[in-house]
Amino acid sequence: MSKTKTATGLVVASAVAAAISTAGTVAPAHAEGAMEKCYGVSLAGKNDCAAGPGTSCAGTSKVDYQGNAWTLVPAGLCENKDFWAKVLPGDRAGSLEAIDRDPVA
Amino acid sequence: MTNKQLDVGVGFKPEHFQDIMQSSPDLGFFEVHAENYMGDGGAPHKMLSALAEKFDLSVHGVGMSIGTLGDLDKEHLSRLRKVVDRYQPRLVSEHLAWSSHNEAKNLMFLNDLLPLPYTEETLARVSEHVTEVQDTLGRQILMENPSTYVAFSDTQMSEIEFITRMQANTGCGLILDVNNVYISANNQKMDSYAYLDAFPLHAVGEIHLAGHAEDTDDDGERLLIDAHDRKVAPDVWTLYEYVVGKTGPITTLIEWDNDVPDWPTLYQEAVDAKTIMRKLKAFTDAAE
Amino acid sequence: MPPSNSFSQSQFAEGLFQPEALPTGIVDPAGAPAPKRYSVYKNNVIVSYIEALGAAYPACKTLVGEDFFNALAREFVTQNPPNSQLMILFGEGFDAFLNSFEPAQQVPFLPDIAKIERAWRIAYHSADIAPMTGEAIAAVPPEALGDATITLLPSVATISSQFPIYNLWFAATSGGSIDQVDPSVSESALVVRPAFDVFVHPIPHLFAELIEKIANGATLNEVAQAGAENDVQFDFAQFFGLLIQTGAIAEIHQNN
Repeated sequence: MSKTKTATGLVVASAVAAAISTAGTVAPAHAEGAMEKCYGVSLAGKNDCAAGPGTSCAGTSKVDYQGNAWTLVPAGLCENKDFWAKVLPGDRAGSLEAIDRDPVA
Repeated sequence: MTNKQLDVGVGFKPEHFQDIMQSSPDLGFFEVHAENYMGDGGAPHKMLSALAEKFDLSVHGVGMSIGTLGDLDKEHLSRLRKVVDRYQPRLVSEHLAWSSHNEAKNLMFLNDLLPLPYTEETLARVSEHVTEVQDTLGRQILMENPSTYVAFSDTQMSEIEFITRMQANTGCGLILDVNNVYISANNQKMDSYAYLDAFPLHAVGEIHLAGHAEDTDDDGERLLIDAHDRKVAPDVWTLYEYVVGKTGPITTLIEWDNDVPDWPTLYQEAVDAKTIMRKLKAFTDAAE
Repeated sequence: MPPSNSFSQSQFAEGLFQPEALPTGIVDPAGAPAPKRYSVYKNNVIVSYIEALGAAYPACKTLVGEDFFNALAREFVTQNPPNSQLMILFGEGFDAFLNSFEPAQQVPFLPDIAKIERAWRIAYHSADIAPMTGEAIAAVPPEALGDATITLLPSVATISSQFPIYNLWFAATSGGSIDQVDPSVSESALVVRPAFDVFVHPIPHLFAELIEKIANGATLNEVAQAGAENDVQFDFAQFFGLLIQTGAIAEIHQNN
């Protein structure tokens, strides 16, 4: 074992000890009990009880409208133009123009 | 133990978990799609295990593609077996339909219950597949009548004949989805009461009820869509009464899979099914 | 293929992805060809895929809005229909698709948000393995730690980005706005599911790199060295504390 490795080994050992003692005094990030969110204490929109995707045994009454969707621009939270002006600097200005050129629905 | 006389269940949706655990509804069972519990671990299994402590379960497969003309997917069958072994459900069921397509070993899952023509060839195939599933699981499964939007020029026999012979070939049980009967009768221009009169009711282990949507076909005529996105239609309740009149109180499920409502709204549908059974039972009892 | 009147599941399946297709033998009750009736199945299949993708990528959907997301989704699902019955895990490759699909270039951070959501989904369904507690870690002989390697929980994933992906993801999933998000900040995220809830933590880029090293089998000595080489301020105790705190460690393997 090389000297540096031994030295690092000591660093690691003492750092782990320090990490354990610190971690022991702070509630772990996952202290929130299992499934607590499902009992109504979840943050809005972060509900782990929501199923996510699943199988379908039913048809749908929604209609998938085909057509040229690519006149579309992002809406949602990305409608915020100030954010876009900042997020797309320099070489991404082309994209920015594309967004500014098209009216946001 | 559940009052088997009025054995009504609903399709379990995770968003209702909290309401169900807190209100302990008077229900006989919950039904889940098998495929949604084929993950390794996590909240879905946690919730289902908690549910299974309080209620019977019914495992309803959506992805076995029993109507495939190719081979059953062995990997998927073993996943189904794992779910069934783990949760020991009271009922296990699948559909008279196909939902995946296997071309050159590349599986494509279509996530819908697709129809098949009723021929000697498809009957033989479906019967083999039902038997293979039952043998693998070591138990009987229930097969559900489909809702369909098209017919096939190849078809050689009626749906009733197909289902009756499939049942006789395999000894499987049946799910009678009354909403599907109503939809298919409209879409295929059949008489729903005649269909129910001819249906092998002796093999039915479960009734399904759900809502449907309305559209139009190529000729502008009424075409019903099995959308499971609203309350059971009044006409379907009427058909249900007709069935229960023949069978007596019977295990019944409310399905609501799209635009899922709040728990009280869904539960009320189950209560309504019980009310119908109770009413008919009282009527029968009084007559005796 | 020779023309045939007989039912073919291949034709039926392939036709579902072609707007004009009507496979032979598909008729209405009177025996007439029924393209509109058949298209009910096309619609069911495509809409179910699009809805499944939306359920798997809720933050992406919130960020770009439903119309834009559904248009992206339609493109993705027709090119990549599910290859498994497990729709709970549908959506693999969506981030790569977003990277390569031209209209998505308008939203350059979207692939990294998709990576977070993909990791979240995998974590949600991953095997139930309890993280090592501080006590259990303290029981490992200190002299063995340097050469030890670590197995992380199966849910652990890191995502590094040039964009403020944690804050964008948080805004999108917590009903917030992105007004307060500083776009000049680049962020890394750690996804981990120590019990039944999935957590996404913002972490320094260097930590994300080191977690990747651990995942690839580096010893703690190697990790400590890589950290120090990258940043003179690097504090291994802080890094290791994060792993304990977030519940990321499944097992420590003593290699001597």
